[in-house]
Amino acid sequence: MKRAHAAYEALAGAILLGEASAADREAYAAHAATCAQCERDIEATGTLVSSAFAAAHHSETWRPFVRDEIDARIARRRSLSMRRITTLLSAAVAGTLALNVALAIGIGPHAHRLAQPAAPPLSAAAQPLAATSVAQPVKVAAVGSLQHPGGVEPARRAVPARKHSAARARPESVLTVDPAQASAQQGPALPAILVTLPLSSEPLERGRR
Amino acid sequence: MMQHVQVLGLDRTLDAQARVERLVLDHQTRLARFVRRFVGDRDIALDVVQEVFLSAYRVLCGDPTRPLTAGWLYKTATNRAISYLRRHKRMAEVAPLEESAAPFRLDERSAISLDLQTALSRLGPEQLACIMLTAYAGYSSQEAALMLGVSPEAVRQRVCRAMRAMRRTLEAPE
Repeated sequence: MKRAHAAYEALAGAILLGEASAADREAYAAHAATCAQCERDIEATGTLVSSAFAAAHHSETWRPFVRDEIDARIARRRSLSMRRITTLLSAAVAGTLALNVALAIGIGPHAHRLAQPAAPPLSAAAQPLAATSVAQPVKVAAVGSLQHPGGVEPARRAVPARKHSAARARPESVLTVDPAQASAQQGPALPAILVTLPLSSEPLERGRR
Repeated sequence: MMQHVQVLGLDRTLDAQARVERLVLDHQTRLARFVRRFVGDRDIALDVVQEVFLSAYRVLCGDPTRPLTAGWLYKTATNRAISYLRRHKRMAEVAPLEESAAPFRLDERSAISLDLQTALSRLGPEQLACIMLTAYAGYSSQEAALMLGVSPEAVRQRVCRAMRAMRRTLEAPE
């Protein structure tokens, strides 16, 4: 019932807006004759409201001018977006420059270290030896223990060099570390026998066998 | 130079600004009057109209080929006016004294204009939107339904109820 009445209200709206056909008007008139809620003279309502709107239109004198305000707001918005674009571009250029400089002077020579897993910490006494391996590979040949003030460091076993490896092709050399210099850098001096080490492990290997 | 302008998208913004200027020149008066009838205040109507044209500018900056018609402007203005009325109603519920201290300001001093404004002010936002888009702006119920996102039957029903309520207000003795 309520839904049917709502349908007739929609029909009345069509009549008020001038969109209803003659059949629609007849259907509404037939309904309004039996319905207490629906207006029988719906046309009068439409006429009254429409004439009120028409009179209000006719008496309108207000002529607003918003063009200047809108132009100003658009210009403000555009300058803001330009500033944002400039800031973004500047930040991108500065970031690229900073990355280039960092790669050129700072990170570049040590980049391969960053890529490798961290090595176990060396003792203070072994550090001078390890430091030389950066520039030139050194094979530690001492067997036994290295005594140093911080504790006992297990010595590294010699690794047998492969026959066709690049290490074997290198000329044999002896690493000589100045004890005074080592002590000045890393603490107490090492025993003299450990300071002078052959860089190749082959003689020791043979001797053991 | 033109290439740089195109790369930065400035040609879009310049084109959008030119199109918005054309829209403003064509529709500013009618749209502002429409919104003022809707919200009942001239300053708020001007704010709403400016926001509508700025929305048009933003839309045209994003898609310069999009056709923006008067219907789009009225739809956007109606939605913004409904938002304002709802917000205003919520604020009035919180502080009813301030609401009563903010009367409608109209340029026209004719009795019929003030009566019409009184009748409109007593409608709810949905009925007001339907009656303004159809009886004031002249759109059909189908077009108003598209603008408001409801069915044409709903628009006609709201128009019927709104006109009945307005008749009661307009015929009531002061």
